[in-house]
Amino acid sequence: MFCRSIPYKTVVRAAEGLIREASFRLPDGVRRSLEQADPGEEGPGRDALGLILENMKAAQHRGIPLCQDTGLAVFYIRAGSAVVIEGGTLEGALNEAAAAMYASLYLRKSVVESPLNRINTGTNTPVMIHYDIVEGDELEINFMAKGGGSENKSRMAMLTPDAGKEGVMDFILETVKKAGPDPCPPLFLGIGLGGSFDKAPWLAKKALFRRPGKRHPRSELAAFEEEITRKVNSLSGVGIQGFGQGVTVLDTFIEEAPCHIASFPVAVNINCHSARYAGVTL
Amino acid sequence: MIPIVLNRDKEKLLSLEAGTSLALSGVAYTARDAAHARLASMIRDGKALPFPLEDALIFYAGPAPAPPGRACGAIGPTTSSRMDPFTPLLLEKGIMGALGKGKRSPAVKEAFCRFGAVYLVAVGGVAALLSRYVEKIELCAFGDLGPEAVYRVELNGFPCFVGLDTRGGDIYTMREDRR
Repeated sequence: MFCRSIPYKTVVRAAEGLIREASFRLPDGVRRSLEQADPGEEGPGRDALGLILENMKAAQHRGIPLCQDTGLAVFYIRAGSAVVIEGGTLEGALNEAAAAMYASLYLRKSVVESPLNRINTGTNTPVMIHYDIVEGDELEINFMAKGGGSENKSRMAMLTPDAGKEGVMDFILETVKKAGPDPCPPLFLGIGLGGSFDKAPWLAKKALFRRPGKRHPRSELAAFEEEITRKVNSLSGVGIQGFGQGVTVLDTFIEEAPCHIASFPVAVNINCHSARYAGVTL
Repeated sequence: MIPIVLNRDKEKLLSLEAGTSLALSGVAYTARDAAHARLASMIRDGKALPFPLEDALIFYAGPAPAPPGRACGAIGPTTSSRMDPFTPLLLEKGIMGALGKGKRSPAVKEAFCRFGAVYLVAVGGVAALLSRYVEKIELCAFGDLGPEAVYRVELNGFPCFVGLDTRGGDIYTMREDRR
């Protein structure tokens, strides 16, 4: 059987590059969404959007991370089944990269070893890793610096099978309203539909890696994404930073999976305006 | 933006309406979840505190380390409501107010009014920019907590808003209230 081997150090260097890129510079699509966002009328919301735009320049010029919450290091890996890491494990490489970069780039170490003992690991590891094993011999590594504020306000529910789009819409609207200012709006919404109790949130997280403006390939879901963004913006009343002015949601991304006849899992993973991610294919 | 020097301009600060934009200068102490829990247990046990709470401004923040050549690393507000269970106790001990982001519970709002204290709000997710307005940061207490330790910070023109005012105005409900 054909195998392609990628040296362990190559993976470490690639992951390090992604952490550096994501922590100081927003993806072009995110930057554009913010530049084109509705600032609302004169007031704190408009002022806040001004600071958000200024902050992008400050992070680059000053070499200071975009947000003090430099996140839980989340990796989404698409690994070709023919890929072999030579000289170590993928998990080892990603953890080594995170420990090195969170120290050398003066990022915040925001991981505790247990939710009960609350002892900081001091390295921002372990990282969170999700995998899709696909055909082929390429290794796609995606990194996201995911803040605690937006993660705290994310929710999942097991709706009834007949809930339909209306049920999903109600749950999303309720989630964004309940969250209010806390997840740092304007937001990006990752929506996971279907799967199992555990799969829906994973789909929602995966959806957040999609570039703003890029719609789901299925037209029904693409239209639903647009409808969600539109409705939450007109009905939530949250606005920029929760001040009730201007845009609440910059974009919505849905990922879908088959599910049990009895179930309708739905998950809303919220991302803040500082949506920090980067990816590379080896 | 109205320039405010902490302590010196307290009366003026208390007279401003929710939503007013400020350039804040003076000393603040960072404290977030873990530091609040420790302070509260020290108060209950009657232990000496690592800094005087009297007239202190508590900044709900966990900064990133300062890179070489910078006075301060990335710094910004965290969600205030997680500190709600501890806030009335700290207000009772004389803090002049708090700086964070997000809504407060009705009980905490009432406590801010009762103690004549201020709740200020900064924009979340703009830490590179905000770090420019921190002239100095030094470890004050609970160093073992890392980013959750108490740091003494010197603010200079730090951009923020009046979150709650003494007439019950709230930056997060102003627009609904006006309708």
